[in-house]
Amino acid sequence: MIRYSLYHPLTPRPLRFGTMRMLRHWAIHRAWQIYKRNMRRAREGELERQYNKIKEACEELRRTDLRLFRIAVSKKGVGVPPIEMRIPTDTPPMRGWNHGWTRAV
Amino acid sequence: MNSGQKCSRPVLGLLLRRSLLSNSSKPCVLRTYSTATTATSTTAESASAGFTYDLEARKEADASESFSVASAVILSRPPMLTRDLPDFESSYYFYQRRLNDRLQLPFTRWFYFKKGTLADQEWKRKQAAANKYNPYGPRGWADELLVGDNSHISEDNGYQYLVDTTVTGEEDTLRMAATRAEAAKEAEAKGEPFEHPTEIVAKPFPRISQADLENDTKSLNRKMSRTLYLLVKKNRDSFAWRFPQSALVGEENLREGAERTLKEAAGGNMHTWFVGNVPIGHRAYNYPWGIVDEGKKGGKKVFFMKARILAGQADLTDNKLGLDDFKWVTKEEIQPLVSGRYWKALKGVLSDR
Repeated sequence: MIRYSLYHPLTPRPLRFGTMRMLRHWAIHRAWQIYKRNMRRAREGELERQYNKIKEACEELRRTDLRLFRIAVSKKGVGVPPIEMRIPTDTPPMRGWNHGWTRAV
Repeated sequence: MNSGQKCSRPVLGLLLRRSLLSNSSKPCVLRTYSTATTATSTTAESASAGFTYDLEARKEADASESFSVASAVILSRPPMLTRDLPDFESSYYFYQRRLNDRLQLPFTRWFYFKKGTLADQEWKRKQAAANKYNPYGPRGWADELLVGDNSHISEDNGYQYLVDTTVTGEEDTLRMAATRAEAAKEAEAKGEPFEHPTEIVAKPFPRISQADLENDTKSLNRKMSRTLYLLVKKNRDSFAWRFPQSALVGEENLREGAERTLKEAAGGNMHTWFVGNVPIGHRAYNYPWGIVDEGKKGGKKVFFMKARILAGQADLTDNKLGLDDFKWVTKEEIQPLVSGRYWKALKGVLSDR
């Protein structure tokens, strides 16, 4: 494999860009950086808002009912995510959502 | 009780608003009715909803700052699909892929396929047929898309292109599946024992489902790349749509209350998972002036609990919360359905994706 990469007749040459192509490339690169920054900021903002909401709710609960507050923050019976959870995929499953699921009695 | 909440819009509907008339001494309560209307008998009307007009009790409740506590369930279906790529992102990835092509060594046929094998022949045939970009040819520099050229975006995420240009064994697999299905059918016709062939999927399924095309808000196959939330509709005119909610009963805690609420609202045939014991949001409001509920409290604090649905479907038949409709909606679709204050309390709670 090493020999293959060293002696391949079509060894890749370095990219040589003309002036306009280089400018285009630079513009694309900058646009991508800005896009990624906006995405990251939006995501961080969303997480921060959600965290603050949880915090406010807990504070409100503490002022309302101390017993409920203690139970809520105790982490008792939190458990682990069920194994039926699926990560997002690129294409949907064959049968779609299982609407007919019934609880075993 | 803080003074800001006293100005809150009454959330109890027209029935209760009318019952306010006999004692509308509070100027800060927003009123949409005329004060000249004659007062009606208040207790009889509002008693049906569990609320009574009792000024003394209300004054007492306000003085002691006591609220009744309710728990609500934000039941969501997590995204089933990866997010939809915006045009900018997909064209950027395509641009980078072409640059990568220019910097890589070409595919070496003799390294991967033995000469004269079927795979080798398939590769040669497909390469001859494909009109591909060649990074080593004389036009290798023309790796960019021209303006208006959307050939890099395809319905099937480039699946058909892969089948057309690379060795996939796709045709053999499909032919084999067809033969097996035919053999099974023949055996069945003759009455011999046979085995159902395993189903072979010819193509990946489209990301846009039938429920999307029909905009079927009851279906969980809709908007598969987004989070869907369960909203239910109470049987009343105003402020009808909201998350399933009910007051805590007895000594139960928020999570137990939420689990019971969900069961009473949408039945037990949903596989759900409650994420932690901590509320992810809250909303506090006062009843219209003079109104108290069964527990002689003058307002309510609702705590929202987070839950995920893994399978199953909501079923409102014989629910105990007076609900008559439900919807699975995304975050944006919730806003027009609920009141402004409700949306304000939940805007930061719900997920953007």
